[in-house]
Amino acid sequence: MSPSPSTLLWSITHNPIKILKAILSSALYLLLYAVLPFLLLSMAQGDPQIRSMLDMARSMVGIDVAGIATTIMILGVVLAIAVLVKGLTDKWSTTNLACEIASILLQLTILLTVLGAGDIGSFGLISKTVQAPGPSQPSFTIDMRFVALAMTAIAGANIILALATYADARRERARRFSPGDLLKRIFG
Amino acid sequence: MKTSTALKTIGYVLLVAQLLIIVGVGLGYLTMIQSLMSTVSPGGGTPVQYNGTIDETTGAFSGTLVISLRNPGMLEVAAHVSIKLNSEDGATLYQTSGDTRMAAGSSGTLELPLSVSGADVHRIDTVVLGLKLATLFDLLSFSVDIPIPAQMGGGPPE
Repeated sequence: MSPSPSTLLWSITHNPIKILKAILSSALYLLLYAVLPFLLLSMAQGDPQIRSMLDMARSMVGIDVAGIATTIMILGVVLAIAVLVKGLTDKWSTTNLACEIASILLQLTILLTVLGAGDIGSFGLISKTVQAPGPSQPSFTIDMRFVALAMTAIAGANIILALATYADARRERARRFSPGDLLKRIFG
Repeated sequence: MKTSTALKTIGYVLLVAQLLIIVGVGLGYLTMIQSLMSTVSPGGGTPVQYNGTIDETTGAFSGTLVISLRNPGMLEVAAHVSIKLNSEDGATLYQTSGDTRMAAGSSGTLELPLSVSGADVHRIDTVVLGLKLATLFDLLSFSVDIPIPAQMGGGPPE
């Protein structure tokens, strides 16, 4: 069951600490995945030496660093919104569960984007040939499949944990608002 | 133990596991970069030395390639070095490879035998040098293959 706007409003007006925590955690994700890549990319593009290196990486190796940073920034903004909504809603609501799962999957997508140098499908295995001028064209392989596999397994475990937390919160809510419990509260 | 407490504990365990992987990967790649840099530019001396002889009558050459590797990093490194001598049509005329494991802060040498017949010496078009470094229980690796045209000095000594 999703919270109605009035429930959300009640939550906002009655839980200032919860709101503050939600905003702070959302701001942290925004800083880490959107502001920081933006600043680093701006600094890199402002420096002619680094910019030429980035151009070389794109033309010779096929790694588009600016494209990777932009993807991370977009995913980072969506992730920050998901974290904010998750923080504002109660653990028993489906919105909270959906946002929790979305944030886990978005973080995994960001990680796989970085590990695959922009190619999520490579699953941590980067294999490139340097298109260098001249007869010699070296090739290199970076194998980080273990990291990709381990982080995917942890993301899967986190999703199961989120489902279990949701089920537990709903059970706890049902118990708290059961007729017997309400009578116990009223009459001691 | 309450269910919510147990779930929170599992959450913390998963978080610690994530952090351990991140730290392990960071240390692994730092070790590999340090190992690669100190092997490529060891700071005095060349990482590759060749000792061999050429048969004056047949033109064949045989000898040993000695490769010095260093691991100044914090984890053990497994190194694999390979050398391929290819002809113009892409056929492999000769190939050799060797492996060594270096503990943190140690160094190692690899001795690769080289032996090419006189007929094949003049067919060598490209020498492909391969280096693979693996660390963190061989779970992380970096490998590079560098083809060097024989005309650029990659061929056998004349």
